[in-house]
Amino acid sequence: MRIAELSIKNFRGIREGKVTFGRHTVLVGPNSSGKTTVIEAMTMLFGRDRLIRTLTEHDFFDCDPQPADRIQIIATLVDFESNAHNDNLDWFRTDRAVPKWYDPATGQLHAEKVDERHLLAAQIAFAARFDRNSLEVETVRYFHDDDSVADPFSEDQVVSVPLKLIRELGFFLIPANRTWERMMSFDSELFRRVVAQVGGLPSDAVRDERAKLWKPEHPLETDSKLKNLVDGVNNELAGLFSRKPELRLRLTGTDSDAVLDAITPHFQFPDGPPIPSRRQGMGMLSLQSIILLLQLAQLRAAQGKSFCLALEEPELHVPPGLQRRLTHRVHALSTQTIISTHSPLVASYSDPTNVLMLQIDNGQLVANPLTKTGITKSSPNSIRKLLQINRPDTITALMHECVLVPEGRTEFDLLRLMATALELQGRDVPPDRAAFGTLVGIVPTHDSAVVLTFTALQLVHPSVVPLIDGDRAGDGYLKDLLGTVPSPRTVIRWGKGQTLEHIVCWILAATTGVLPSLGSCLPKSASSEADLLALLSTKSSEGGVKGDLVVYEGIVGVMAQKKECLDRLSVLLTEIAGVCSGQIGGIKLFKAVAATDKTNVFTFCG
Amino acid sequence: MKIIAYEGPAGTGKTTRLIQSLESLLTTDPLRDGQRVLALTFMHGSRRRLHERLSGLPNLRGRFDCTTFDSFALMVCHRCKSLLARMKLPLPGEGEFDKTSDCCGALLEKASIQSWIAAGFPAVVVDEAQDLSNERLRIVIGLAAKCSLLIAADEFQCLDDSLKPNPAVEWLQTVAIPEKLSCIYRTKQPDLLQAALAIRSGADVPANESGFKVFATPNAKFAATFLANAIAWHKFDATSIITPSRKGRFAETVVGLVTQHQLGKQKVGPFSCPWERTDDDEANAAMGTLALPDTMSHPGLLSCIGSLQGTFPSAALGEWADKQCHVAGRVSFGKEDVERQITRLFSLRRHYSHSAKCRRVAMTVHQAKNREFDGAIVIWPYTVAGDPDQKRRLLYNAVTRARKWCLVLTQSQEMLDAPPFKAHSPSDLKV
Repeated sequence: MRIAELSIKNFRGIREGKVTFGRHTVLVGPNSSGKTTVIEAMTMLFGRDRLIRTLTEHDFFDCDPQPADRIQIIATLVDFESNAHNDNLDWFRTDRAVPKWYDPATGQLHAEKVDERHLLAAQIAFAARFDRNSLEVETVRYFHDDDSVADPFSEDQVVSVPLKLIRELGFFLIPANRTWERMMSFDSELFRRVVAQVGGLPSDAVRDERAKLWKPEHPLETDSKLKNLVDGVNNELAGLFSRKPELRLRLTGTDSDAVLDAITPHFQFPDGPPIPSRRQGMGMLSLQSIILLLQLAQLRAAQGKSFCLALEEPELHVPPGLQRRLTHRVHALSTQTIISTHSPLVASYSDPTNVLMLQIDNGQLVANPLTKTGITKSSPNSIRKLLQINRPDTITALMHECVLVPEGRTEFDLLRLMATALELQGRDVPPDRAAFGTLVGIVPTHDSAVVLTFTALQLVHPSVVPLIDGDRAGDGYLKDLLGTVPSPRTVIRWGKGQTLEHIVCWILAATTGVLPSLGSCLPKSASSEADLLALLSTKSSEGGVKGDLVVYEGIVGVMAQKKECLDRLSVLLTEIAGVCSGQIGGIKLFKAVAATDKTNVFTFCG
Repeated sequence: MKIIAYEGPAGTGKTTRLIQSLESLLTTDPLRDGQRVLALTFMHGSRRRLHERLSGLPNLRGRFDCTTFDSFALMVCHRCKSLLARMKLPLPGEGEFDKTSDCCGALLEKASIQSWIAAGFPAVVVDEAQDLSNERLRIVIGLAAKCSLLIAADEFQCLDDSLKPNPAVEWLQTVAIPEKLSCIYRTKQPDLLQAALAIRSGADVPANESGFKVFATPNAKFAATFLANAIAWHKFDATSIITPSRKGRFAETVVGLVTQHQLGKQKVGPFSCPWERTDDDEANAAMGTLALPDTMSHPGLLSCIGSLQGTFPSAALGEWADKQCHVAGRVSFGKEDVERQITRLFSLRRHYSHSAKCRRVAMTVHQAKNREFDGAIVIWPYTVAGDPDQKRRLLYNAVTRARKWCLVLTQSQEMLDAPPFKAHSPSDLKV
């Protein structure tokens, strides 16, 4: 069994939205794009009661729920043991779910099976309302029969979902906050569950330990250093009680509970003693819960039961190599995984059709896969590169509020180097502006496929801005971009005949005497700005430095040494960020022209 | 699947046989985890009685749902809203019982719905199947496709003129060979047995035997005296006063006299003898007390409810109003909406509560259907409508309620010379 779709209404920052899940889904997106909310919504629906926090007004969309406002979370479950509803008696009967049919190709739900590819589906829902008199939130979990069912709190015919069925899905959550040191002890509900599943409490061993506590080999009260104190106490007691009780000092409360409570996980490396988990590094602490859940996953898999793991930020406290191994383990052992991450690497371990870019626009949650169709034989090389080899870079760019699509790899490298140089210098950004690096992500465009790349990315990101040259080729790209549907709101273009190389020269020309200091990083000296431009624009096979990352680093390094150059760079990038994000007041380096009624072209005029 | 059917006159133990065959069915095909038996009835009264019978079954251990056709149809329609919409059938409104049943029947023509219901309810019990309208029969036919059906009927006990010939009985002949029951278990009183047989076969009804008496009582006071004497004579019996028609108020006048006056030479009575009220009577009475304006605010409605002075359904109605306000955010209430809720509350009460047991109660033949009393006093006024066959069915239904004795009082002497009391001539037959 797995979750095919989740629909969310009025929950936290989401007024409305729908997410479609594959077997191994990764949720990515900028901060407050809804990743955590989607996972918490699943917890509301599938969590055992203990997982469900008490809800408050703040969990409602606008934080001030009116009597008729409801949080509603509906899940569509598919992949039952058999695709015939009468084989799944526990799920489909009049006091349980109504059978529905899910079309995996379109994501649509039908009341009748009219296609052999349709999957048997059940819908269960969670609803909550805020009672303005009792100031409490009332919740209900029920079988969702039809979208027209107005309100489970006032309908008579609401069939609630028994906990037993919810457990069948085997939903487990590893939240981002997972540094609890006693995960592998009997304090932990999860640990107890796993122990119960594996073979029960180690009761014989516990009773043995308890017996040892009762009769210690060297009782503390007999220690010479304590003897005077103990004797004194005993004498006093003998005066008060005729039966002469005596003081005994024992480790713990000496019952089985005390033994279980006192158990503390230790980890031992071959070259050292066992060390308690709280003395271990964060990595070990953080991994405990995942390791424990994987044990449970294995057990459930062996019993033919499903296991659905929601994992927040697997990259936490874990080096990339381990991240990959963990992700693969989790994938291999689970029926379904839903991973939220800020790590482009983790995201790149999943198929691009399963990487969902989340965004919230005015309360509307949109979750689009990196590509709907996946990479096929007919995919052009540029898209293949974008989504396959350069996927971490692409995803990194998409995690920003705005995405800049330059013409090619050279621009990607140079712009990134310049943005990094600026950040390393710790330049202040004017108070009304956001820093380029935090606002804008740069896409590694390939083969000058700026139009194809824009078209592919605007499906998953609301704010994609192409950056094109001022040359003849740029004219062509602009024409094509204006013809795309939807066409870009904003296009940035270098001045007539200009490329990024011109801009580099322009920045370096902010002050005199820069050209000589470039000497050491160039293969041959450039005596004039024109020489430098020619070198930068010529491929290395033809004696130039175009695309030479080492040279670029050198040039940007020089740029970073000169205050005047840095000033120019800072203004340029900050203004690009302003144009990308639509804050165009006070822009000086770019001139805006409305190319069509939908698209503004900002041309460099520095 | 399997259909087990029984036919037989009143008192031949149809219900008992249904339950016996359910027991043996459950022995051969035990219920799986999560499965239950579905028992469908027409009225809440018979639902309660069937519920009690089924509760006594040891191998059922409470694993049954005893519900009315209307509740069942409503549940299926509500749960299958999506499919109804796909079939372009609008969801019937509240109170549109026949339409709701018809929609449920339409849903039950789908194999997927048949198996969805059969998954949880492998066996279905339907008693009094002669009362199945075409809409409800459609439900039963749908259920029979995948569930085992245990069903009993007696065409002669059907009082609905529009169900002649009887659709359920005709359908049963085409799908099963119903077992005919003829031995009467309800009573061993020979006079009652003979009278029932005569009414059923259209023969002259014997009169003035010890267990079964017929008298003409031309005026209400005369009838009331007979009634009072009979009650006094059978003081400790559970007795029902049954009339086929309350029109013309003859029966009501008679019962009123018995309730208020001492009657006869012995001055017996007065005897309390309330009319069994219908939900609608009670709901209308409550609405009369409330005097609702066309629209009202939440506090306005609550102050109207105050006029019920704490009697039913003031508390429940207040709760509903509060819930509408606090849960659904409603600020104004329409009169019609409140009235619909009152009607619903009365019918809910009937659904869940057992009516107070009263030793003597007056009711119509329709209300008395399928119930048993020690004694039955039938008041037969001029105003009984219908052809001779219909009248015989009414009388048969009334007389066969009695276990020990029955007294019939007609409003005139001449009535005793016509059907249903005398065999009718061929010219009386309905064309």
